[in-house]
Amino acid sequence: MSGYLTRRVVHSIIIVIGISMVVFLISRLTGDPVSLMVDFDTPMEDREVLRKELGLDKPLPLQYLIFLKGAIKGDFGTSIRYQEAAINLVLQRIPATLRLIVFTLFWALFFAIPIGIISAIKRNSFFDVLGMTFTFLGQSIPSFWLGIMMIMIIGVHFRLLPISGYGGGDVAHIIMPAVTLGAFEMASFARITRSSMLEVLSMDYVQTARAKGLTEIIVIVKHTLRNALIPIITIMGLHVALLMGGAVITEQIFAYPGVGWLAVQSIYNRDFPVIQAIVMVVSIGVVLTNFIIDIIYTIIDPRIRYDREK
Amino acid sequence: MIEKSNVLRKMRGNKMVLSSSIVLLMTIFCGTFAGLIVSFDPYYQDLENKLKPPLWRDANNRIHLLGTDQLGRDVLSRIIYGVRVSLLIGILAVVISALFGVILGLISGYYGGIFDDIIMRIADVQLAIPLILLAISVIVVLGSSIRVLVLVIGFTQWMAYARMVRGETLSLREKDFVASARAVGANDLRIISRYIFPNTLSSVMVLITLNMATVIVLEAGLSFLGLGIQPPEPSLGTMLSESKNYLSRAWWLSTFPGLTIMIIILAINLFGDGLRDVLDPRLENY
Amino acid sequence: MMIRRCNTIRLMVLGTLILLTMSLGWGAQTADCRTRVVVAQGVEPTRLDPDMHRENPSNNVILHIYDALIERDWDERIQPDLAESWQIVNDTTVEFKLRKGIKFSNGEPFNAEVVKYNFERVAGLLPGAKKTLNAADYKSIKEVKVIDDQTVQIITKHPDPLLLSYVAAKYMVPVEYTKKDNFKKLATKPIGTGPYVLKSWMKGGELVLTAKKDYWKGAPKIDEVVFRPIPEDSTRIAELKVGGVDIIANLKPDNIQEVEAEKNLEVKFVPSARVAMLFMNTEIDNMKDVRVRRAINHALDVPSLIKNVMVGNAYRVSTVAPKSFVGWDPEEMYYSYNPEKAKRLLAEAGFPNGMDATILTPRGRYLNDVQACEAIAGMLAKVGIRAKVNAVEFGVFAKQTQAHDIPELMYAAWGNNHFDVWDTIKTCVRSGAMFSWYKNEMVDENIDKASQTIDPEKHSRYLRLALREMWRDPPFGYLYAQRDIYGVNKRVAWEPRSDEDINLYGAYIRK
Repeated sequence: MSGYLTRRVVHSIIIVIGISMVVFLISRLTGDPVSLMVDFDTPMEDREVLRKELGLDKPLPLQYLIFLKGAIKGDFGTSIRYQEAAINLVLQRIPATLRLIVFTLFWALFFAIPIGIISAIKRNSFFDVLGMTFTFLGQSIPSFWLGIMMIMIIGVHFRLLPISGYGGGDVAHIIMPAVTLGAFEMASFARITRSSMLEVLSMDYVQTARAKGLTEIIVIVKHTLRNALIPIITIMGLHVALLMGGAVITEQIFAYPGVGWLAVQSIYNRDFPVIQAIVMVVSIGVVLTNFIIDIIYTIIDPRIRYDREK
Repeated sequence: MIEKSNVLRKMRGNKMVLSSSIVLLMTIFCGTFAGLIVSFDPYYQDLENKLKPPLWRDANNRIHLLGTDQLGRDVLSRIIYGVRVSLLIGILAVVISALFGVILGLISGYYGGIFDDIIMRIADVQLAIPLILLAISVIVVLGSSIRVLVLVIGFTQWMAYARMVRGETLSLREKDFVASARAVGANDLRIISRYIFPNTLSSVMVLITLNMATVIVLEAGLSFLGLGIQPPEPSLGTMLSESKNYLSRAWWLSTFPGLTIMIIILAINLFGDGLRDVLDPRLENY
Repeated sequence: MMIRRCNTIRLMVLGTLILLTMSLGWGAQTADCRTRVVVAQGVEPTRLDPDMHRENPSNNVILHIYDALIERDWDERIQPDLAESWQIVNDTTVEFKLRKGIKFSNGEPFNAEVVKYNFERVAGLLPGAKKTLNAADYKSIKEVKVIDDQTVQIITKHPDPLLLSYVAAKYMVPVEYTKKDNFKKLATKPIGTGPYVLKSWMKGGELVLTAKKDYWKGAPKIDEVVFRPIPEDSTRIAELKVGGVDIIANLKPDNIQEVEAEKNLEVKFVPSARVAMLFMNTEIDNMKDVRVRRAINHALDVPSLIKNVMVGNAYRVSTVAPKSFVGWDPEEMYYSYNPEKAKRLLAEAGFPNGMDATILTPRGRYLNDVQACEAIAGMLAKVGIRAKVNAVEFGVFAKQTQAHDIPELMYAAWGNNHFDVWDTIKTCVRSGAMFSWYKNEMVDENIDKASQTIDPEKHSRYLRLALREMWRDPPFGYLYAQRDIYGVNKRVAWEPRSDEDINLYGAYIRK
């Protein structure tokens, strides 16, 4: 087990280094990274100072090491608009986004799993067809359209929920953003649960349990549920990355004070140091999530670990 | 391997696949012959007649089936042109991803070892960076044009193809017919291209159709943020973005482009699902 | 073994659920008798240091926390504020008499030394202080003399017609508080003499100001002013409708109807200081000939633009000065809308088959900027000028224009905080100026003469001469001056201002 873990740690570190390389290269795409990092009317002398700091006259690999050294310390430069350390801006807003993502995953799973299970058990029934239509729709609606529609209908027309903002962190303010953000995820999870359940339900030991006369519920809970959930946990890291991306648009629409909105603002302001910081922090978050899931895996069922390694 | 006739027969039998293929064919038709179908010039502004509701007749008794937008342009014509742009970007980006991904997957699966390690780690890196953030960073630096959009989207979708093809290659390369080919003296390139690749085709095709849907939504999302297609070029995403400010006054400006995107994606998903059911049900969990 | 793992999972799930619900409140709010007004802006303030920002959203918060020596009233006339009177000693000296007994919210006194410290900071005369973002406005200041505790003189290097306007824009910051850490804390923990103090600021969320009961002009009638950033137009309007916010700015003309339709909302208009202009780059060969530029002016159907793109929320200007500006010419002449004449002029100038052109515009920065440009492109196309619109993010627009790199045409709605057309034309018309792509010696001469006098009579006269020549030899396609539109909840008695300030001192809640 420790061998596996150390290998995963090494992998994760390599991936993080890879991410830093990507971020580094993007900033070099224009040929003049300094123009990305300063305000448009910054005088030449100040630009030269920054150029020396970034070591832009040195060979590229050395520049990368300078960048990496800064990145490890958390220094991605100063925000052009806010004149504050880019990393501070990001860290201020990450908690809000994390809450949003956790809440989104929670409600997505809360609805998806029962829908998937019941659809599988009552295969091809009306419920199944309804459920599957619902999930197809969920995977086809662009999230920004859904968000705007929800604001108009639920927020303005029916006045059921507050429309935007953080509202001190209460549930009411997080519902619409979470639904908008998670519609696609919920649909995905439902479908995966359903097909996974179908597969498991047809397996021998389930047939045996049924033959033995155990009630349906016990059969499901004891033998099938856990295995059926495995595919979902497997792709959780992928979905966290998707949610981080989706949060960019959702937070913008609902004025939710998270990292996604900061990302959009930074585009409009061409505030590259902040964009850099966001990409690094978010990507590292995804890698961390994957890592944690792997650890959870090894706790839950060492057998699965071996299967995945193949 | 499944024979072609079987595939077609099975697909014809499945109602959802049938109706979705019809929708898709119509979409492709729209995209290709957009110039011929439209009854109005999608760029022509008629400020006097802006924000007119659907089924409105203008002074020349020509009917605007879906109404006009905030600059008096015909909504239906813009949607048709927008479909063309979305399809164009979708197809180009998907072709790039598929090409890139399949080749890397084949190499990774066939040769294994360090190639495999490197390629898979690169895939992990890209999977860790949320696509929108990557697209944002690149577009901030390079500006937004169809070329940049296609390249950015194209070079960030290859991972799924690579992973899948790699998996298939791994199992295929142990099969008997490959061993016998080697015994006969076939070199690596021949083996890969003649024996292994064709067997991955069905999965690749399924992935291509599903990927198209993702790409179209992605383009719409980027246009929504103002990073995608620039006005006055019509694009479904830009139209949705512009419609935000007229929601209560002109519901048709957001409803129809939104429905269009939804229907196209729905059709692609159903078609892809049907294709998968027919070709290889094992791919369900991808 | 398996059962134990099952339980582990169940426990983990349960634990997460509990943590989740605990971390989320249930939105219980205590009823508050304090009066509260919420203002929604498109972005949040960057910094609350009055000399270290350059944008309206920050200014709107800052003006509640600080005071200046003089201020503009709702008619944009200059009135006393911290200074009770002032007099022009000579062309380069103005003397201010300060009020007595005013304190900053941390107890520090306000006096002539404070004034000297403040102006030296922005004039770059304070040793060790970082250059401020508004330094360019104050570079004409030579020195600040303290005559006595209540009297101070500002001496300029040369006559500066806009000096009083700049003084009105300089908010006073305390000395000891900022000396300690070289102005660092001021950005997030501001201290001023103004009617409100900062209570809390959640980055990306609410910024709350509370009223100072002992404010020297009298306690504000509104206890709490809250600023919320909401980037999406449609979301802002939705919040206004449901009462989540009370005031929104930059309402689009197309949304006027839906706000007016709500019983508890009203739309407020105020003439803006922004004048939309179609810059013509005479450094490009095609634009050099005056006939081409007149042709463009004849091709623009400005009344149609006003009616359809701006939905009536603009009024035509003959050049670049609306009525409220110093230098406005009462004898207004407009270019007639005449596409035939335009085509003829183009042919005479050597373009019988028209020409290609690109219009650079920011996207969403000015009211309906992209729509206006698309409409303009359509009008130009009708006379043979095949115009393309290049709509870019404001950051890119600013970068390009500052680098003096624009195509044949550029659209901008130029703001002017001084209500003096000299400010606009010295920057956009005087040859060699940063945003000028034009050269006309007579215009230059008059602009220069206007720069050299603080005498209001002479100053206006030179400006009028410059504008007349500009009409004859146009550097711009002349368009319109904008009208600012605000959406307000009827419970708030508040008036907007031409300078885009949102000032709630003096506003109150209607019963």
